[in-house]
Amino acid sequence: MAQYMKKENKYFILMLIIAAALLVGIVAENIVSVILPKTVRLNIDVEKVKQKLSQAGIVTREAKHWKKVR
Amino acid sequence: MFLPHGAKIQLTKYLKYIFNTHHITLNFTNLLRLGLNQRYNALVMKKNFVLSCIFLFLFFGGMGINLARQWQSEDTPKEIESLSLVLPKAQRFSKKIGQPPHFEAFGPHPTTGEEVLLGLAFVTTDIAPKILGYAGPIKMLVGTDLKGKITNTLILKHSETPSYVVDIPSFLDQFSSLGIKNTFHLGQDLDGISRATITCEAITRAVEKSLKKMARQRLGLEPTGMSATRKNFPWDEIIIPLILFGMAVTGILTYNKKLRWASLLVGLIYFGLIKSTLVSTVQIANIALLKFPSFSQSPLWYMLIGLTLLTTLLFGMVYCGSLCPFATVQELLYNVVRFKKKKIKRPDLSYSLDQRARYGKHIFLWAAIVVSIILGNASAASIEPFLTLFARNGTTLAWILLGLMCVAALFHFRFWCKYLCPVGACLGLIANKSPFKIRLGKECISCDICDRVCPTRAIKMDDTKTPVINYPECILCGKCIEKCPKDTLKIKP
Repeated sequence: MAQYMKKENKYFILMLIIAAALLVGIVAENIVSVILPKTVRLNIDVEKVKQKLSQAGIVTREAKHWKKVR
Repeated sequence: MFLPHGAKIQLTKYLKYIFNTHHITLNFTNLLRLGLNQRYNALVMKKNFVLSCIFLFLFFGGMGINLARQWQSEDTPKEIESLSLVLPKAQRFSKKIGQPPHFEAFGPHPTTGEEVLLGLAFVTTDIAPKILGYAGPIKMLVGTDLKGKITNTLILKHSETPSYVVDIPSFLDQFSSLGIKNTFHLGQDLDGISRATITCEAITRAVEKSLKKMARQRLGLEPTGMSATRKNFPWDEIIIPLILFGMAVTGILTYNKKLRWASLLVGLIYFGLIKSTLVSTVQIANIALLKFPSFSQSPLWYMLIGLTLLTTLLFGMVYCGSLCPFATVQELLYNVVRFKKKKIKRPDLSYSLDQRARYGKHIFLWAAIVVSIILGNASAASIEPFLTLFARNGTTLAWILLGLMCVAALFHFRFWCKYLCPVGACLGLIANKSPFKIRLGKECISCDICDRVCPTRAIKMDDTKTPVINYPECILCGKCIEKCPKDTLKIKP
């Protein structure tokens, strides 16, 4: 039956399916934003911590990835 | 026909009433015509009745569940979990004590190492419960040191529209530099979030009021007075919606196309571009959750929702047809393309596919309400692309959906409205019951013109060649009234 479907109907169904999928995705994003709100995070003054460590004689460096320090 | 004389007279009168004609013969053909017309009408009515029942069940059921949950709810675990985030130096916290209610935070003294009181943490809704955001109270946890300076501010719970408050973390970061000696003027001391004025004002006032009250009563400090709140009542938010709805209803009742377009364009400018306030599923969900903003802070919310419900109950799809800013954008896109290239025809979509696809908007309405009730937060119902367009803020998916709807609007008249808009689905069920409707007069000659010109396919000729109007789909554009050769279609009770 699909081969007899008009071109307009096929494009219409495709557009509806894509729109519906996007809407489901947006609802999922909204659910995540409610359950895991972005405001829950630490406010650490990194510069202050670095200053204290260097006062204690420890050299600080940016860690790009986990690596065993030898 | 072999009927008693009295019954024949009654039946003839009934047929004349149904077909609005003085010249009718009581015979088998007319009875069959009546039966088929009534059967089609009955099918349309039955479909709308079932959809209405499902919506009312979900809406009021959800309201009941939310009420029951509010009586039982205990948010304390979340407050306790968040304490170390507002006062990171503290190692121990007390239970919530005292008046005003607060948590005491203890940690090591920087020099002696002994455990001392480092600061206090408090929940704004415990101290300033009457300060409401756009969709109800905004519950925040605020940490302060012993000098009354804010250490951090966290939002624990809110129901504000997500696309308008995407930038809340950076807004809240500004509070960390403020204390009891500061003023909290939005626009001067603090930068607000564009299009989220009410939310920002509510957060600012709640934090300031609760911080200064806590500092005075628990820390024995003398804060500065409260910053002045918005002085002037926004009368424009009462008067302009009244004028716009008046224009829309007048345009509909006088079949004035220019007045309809004027209300569409002014609605786009005022509701869309200036105020960014539209009727959305979030508001329907907030009503189900019994979360309302304060009238003095947000009169536009009450005017928009109140006038929309009133005009829909009385006349039908007034808001959707003559005021919705996103509908205006779609109509402009559809008409501009056809103005430039007159050969673009409307896609010849099959009628049955078109009608089945319209159930989609009801499904999304139900899903939005159910998800909002389960989460206890209407933010989940924020799915409309117009929120992205007019707030100019949204996630990637939201922008893609907006783009797709704009493209779809070039080919299909009001694509979003017909197949996906949950607000249209809800208002359509109410419009079905309106006393004033477009009704067929007695001069109908079954010419089929109204069926062909209706841009939303709300009119269909049934098997007896009588136009049947599906009122939840009718946007009261008046095209059928304008084009009818016999002027037989009119809005009447």
